[in-house]
Amino acid sequence: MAEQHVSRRDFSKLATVAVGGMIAGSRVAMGQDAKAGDVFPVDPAQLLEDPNVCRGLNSCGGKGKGDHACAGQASCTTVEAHSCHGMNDCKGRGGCGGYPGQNACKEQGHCAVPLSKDSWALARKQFEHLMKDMGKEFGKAPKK
Amino acid sequence: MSDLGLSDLQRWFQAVVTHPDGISVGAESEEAIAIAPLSRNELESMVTRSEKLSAQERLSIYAQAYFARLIECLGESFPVLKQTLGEELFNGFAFGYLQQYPSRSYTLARLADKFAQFLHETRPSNDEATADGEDLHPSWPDFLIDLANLEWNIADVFDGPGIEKITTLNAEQLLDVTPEQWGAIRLQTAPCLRLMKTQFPVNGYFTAIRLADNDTKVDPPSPEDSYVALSRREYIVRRHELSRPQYELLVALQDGRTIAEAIEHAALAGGMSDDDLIKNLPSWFGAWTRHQFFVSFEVT
Repeated sequence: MAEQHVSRRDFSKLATVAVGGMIAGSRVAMGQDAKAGDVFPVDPAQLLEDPNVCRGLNSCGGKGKGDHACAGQASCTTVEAHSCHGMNDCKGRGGCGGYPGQNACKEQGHCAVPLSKDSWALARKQFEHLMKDMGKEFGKAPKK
Repeated sequence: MSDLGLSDLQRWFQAVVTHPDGISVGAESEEAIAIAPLSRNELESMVTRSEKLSAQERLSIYAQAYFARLIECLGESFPVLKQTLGEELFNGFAFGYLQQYPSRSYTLARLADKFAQFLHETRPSNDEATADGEDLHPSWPDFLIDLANLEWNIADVFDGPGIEKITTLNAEQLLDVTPEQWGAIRLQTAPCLRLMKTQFPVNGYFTAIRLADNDTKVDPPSPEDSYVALSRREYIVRRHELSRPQYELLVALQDGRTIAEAIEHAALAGGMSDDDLIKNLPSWFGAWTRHQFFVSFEVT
């Protein structure tokens, strides 16, 4: 999984994973997400692969829905929508849990796709961070 | 009878009955002499004798009760250590401790503060020591010291500052920080978070003893470097087993290092491959946030 995508000593990028964990932990504590103790493997790089789980998360022009000129501007998800956690049909297609679109295995995403408002904000931030890290350009996020 | 006022009489009585070496030595101690310059043979000028008991014997009743209560309190502070040693041996250690480190605080909460230190200072030499005195392996005394340290820390976390009346970290606020700065975040850990490294897995032993019924014998564990985090939520002390990388990561965060620095510290400390570290970071940070290990953050 992540070893192919995260350089060996890029600890700043690993902070993205850590922050995602804290946000997931906060949401569990507030009863918003998966139950306490849930652990699922994630791969941040999945967020940069298509299909994508919500608007503004396409990695290349032409790989998202709606009219868009480049990466990060698609209007909606290209994966099959689902309503709750564990119902994603492939890796990288699950929602929220602090790691939207980064689940490493089938049936290990949390919550619905397209993403909820809060999960989308986190996903977009992580998407931007990872895209910048890889030196890729992306456009302004579309409005909902 | 003495002409001392009540206040002086009380201070003299306290000096005599709480002296670790007994009534006679206590009566001739500097503190007691300063109030009433008496020899041990002149106690009856202060305390009348009864039909059957001398003044010294009457005072000894209070002295024995004083130490009995303190030893009882120490036993309640170290229940698993007491069970492991047996009552007689534990009480022997406790009495020796009270002689070495007499109670000086108004509160019993501070009574056990130096007990683990006392065990360390009085530990027998290690049979497996090398010629120059360097220990080769942790041994039985080290196990007892680890166990005493664990139990003292549990009590101290219980009595100390906690998070019940403060706001802990709402990680959603991290979304207000630009992702480029996430690595530069410094987390403020909870005041009740205590990180411990021990030479024996005493936390598991502590749990096993607490869960065992009276007829079940629990064998002390073999030496193994072990790590545990203590914290307190809703006035209950929680114990969390840690792996070494988890411990190193939390220590670095508690020391005020940034998230990126702390992760690097944990990676360099070894004990886990980078790939496994990456795989585990989400669940670690998620669990620590749920457990309210963090109260706030700043970006530097």
